[in-house]
Amino acid sequence: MCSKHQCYIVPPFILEELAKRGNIACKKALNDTQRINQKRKTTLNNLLQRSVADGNGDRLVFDSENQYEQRQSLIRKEGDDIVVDTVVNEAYDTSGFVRKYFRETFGLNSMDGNGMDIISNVHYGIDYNNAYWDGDEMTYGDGDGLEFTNFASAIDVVAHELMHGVTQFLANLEYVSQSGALNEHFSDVFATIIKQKYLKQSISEADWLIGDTVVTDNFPGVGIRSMMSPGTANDFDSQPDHMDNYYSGSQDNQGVHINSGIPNKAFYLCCLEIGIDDCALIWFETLSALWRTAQFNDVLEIMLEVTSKLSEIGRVSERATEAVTKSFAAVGLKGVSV
Amino acid sequence: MKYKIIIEGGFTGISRKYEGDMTVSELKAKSLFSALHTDDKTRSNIADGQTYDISLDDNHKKYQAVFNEKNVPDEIRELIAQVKQ
Ligand SMILES: [Zn+2]
Repeated sequence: MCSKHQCYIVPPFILEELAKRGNIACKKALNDTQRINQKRKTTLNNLLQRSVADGNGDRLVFDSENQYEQRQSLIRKEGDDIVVDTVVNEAYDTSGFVRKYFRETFGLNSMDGNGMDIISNVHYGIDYNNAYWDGDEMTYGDGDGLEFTNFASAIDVVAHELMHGVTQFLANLEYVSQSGALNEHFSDVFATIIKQKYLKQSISEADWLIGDTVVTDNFPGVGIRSMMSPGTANDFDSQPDHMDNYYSGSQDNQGVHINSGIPNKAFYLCCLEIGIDDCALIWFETLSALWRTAQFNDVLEIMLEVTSKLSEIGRVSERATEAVTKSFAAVGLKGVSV
Repeated sequence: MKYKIIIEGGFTGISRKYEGDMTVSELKAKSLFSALHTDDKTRSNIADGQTYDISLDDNHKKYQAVFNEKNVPDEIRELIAQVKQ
C-alpha cells in the first residue's frame, strides 16, 4: 500500500506505472502532485499553506466588464437575489444545475469533492469567442455577435467547463494529445448528459450537439460539435468518428478538440444500447480510475473492468459490458473483455 | 507592417488566421515589437484556452511569439481586435 506521504517522494513515472496497475493511493498522489506543480507554475498563490476545509460549492459570479481580467467585480454570490444582468443570473443558474447534478447523481460536492467555490467570470474581453477553465475558475466571453454569442448562458458550455474542473481533480488528464482528447471527451460527455437533463429530453429527442445555442444564424453550422455525428456540426468541424481518421498533427494541443470525436461517438452508441444514465455512471466511475497520461486504450480497458463490476452488483444493465465493447469497436478501439 | 495572427484551440476548436498589412506609427510598432518579447513558451494547461501565434514584420524587424490565454499583452489584444474588424 502506498501512503500519500510516501508517494510524494516517488518519481512520477513510477507513480504512473503503479496507478496503471490500480494503486488508487498512488494515482491520487500523482494527480495531486501534478496539479499542485501546475498551480505553482501558473500562480503564486498560497494554496499549499491554506488549510483545506470542506465548503458548500458556493457560486460566485464576477463581471469582467469587457476587460481581459478575472474576478473584476463580484455581482452575485450564493444565496443572493437575482440581479439586473441576465447573463450573470444565467451563469449562476446553469452552474447551480450542474452542481446539483453531480451532487445528487454521484454524491460529488462541487468539482473537487470538497465543496470548492464555483467561480464564474462573465463578459470577459471584447467580442471574445470562447469559454475556458483555468484550473481554478470558469471564464466566458459574450461572443462577437456575428458568429458566436453568450457562452455563459449555455447549459452545455457551462457543464463542459465545470467538468474540466471535475476531471482535474479526479484524473488530471494531461491537456495534450490523447489524454487531452480524453479530457475534452469527458467534458463533452457530461455536457451532453446534463443538457439532456436540463431540457428534460430523452435520448431520441436530444440533438446530441454541443454549443448549438452559442452559434448565431450566420455561423456555417448548427453547433460546435456533434456527439452523434462527429465532423458534421459545422463547416470547420474536422472531428473523426473512427481511429482510421485519427488526427496526428500538432494543431490544437495535438488535436484535443479533434480526436475527442472518436470516444464521443462511442459514448453516443453506448447510450443507444443501455441508456444515458447507465453510461453516465460507467463514464464517471471510469474517469475516477484514470490517471494523468491515460490513452484511449487505457480508457477502454478500465471501462470494461468498471462496467463488469457495476454490472455484477446490478448498478448498470447486464448488457453493459457487451454494449461498451461493441460501441468502442465501432470506432476502431478493441479491448479484451473481462 | 505585415502581420500574421493565428488563434487556435479554445472551446470551439476552430482556428482563425488573420493576415495582412497595416500602417502603424513608429511608436506603435515599437510597442508591439516590445510586447512580443514577453513570449512565454511554457505549455498552457488551461482547458479550452486559446493560443495566439503572432508574427510581425515591418521590413526592418521580424518578430514572432506565441501566447496563451493568460499572458497575451494588452498591445496584442488591441492588435487582434483591430485586425478582426
Ligand atoms: Zn473543453
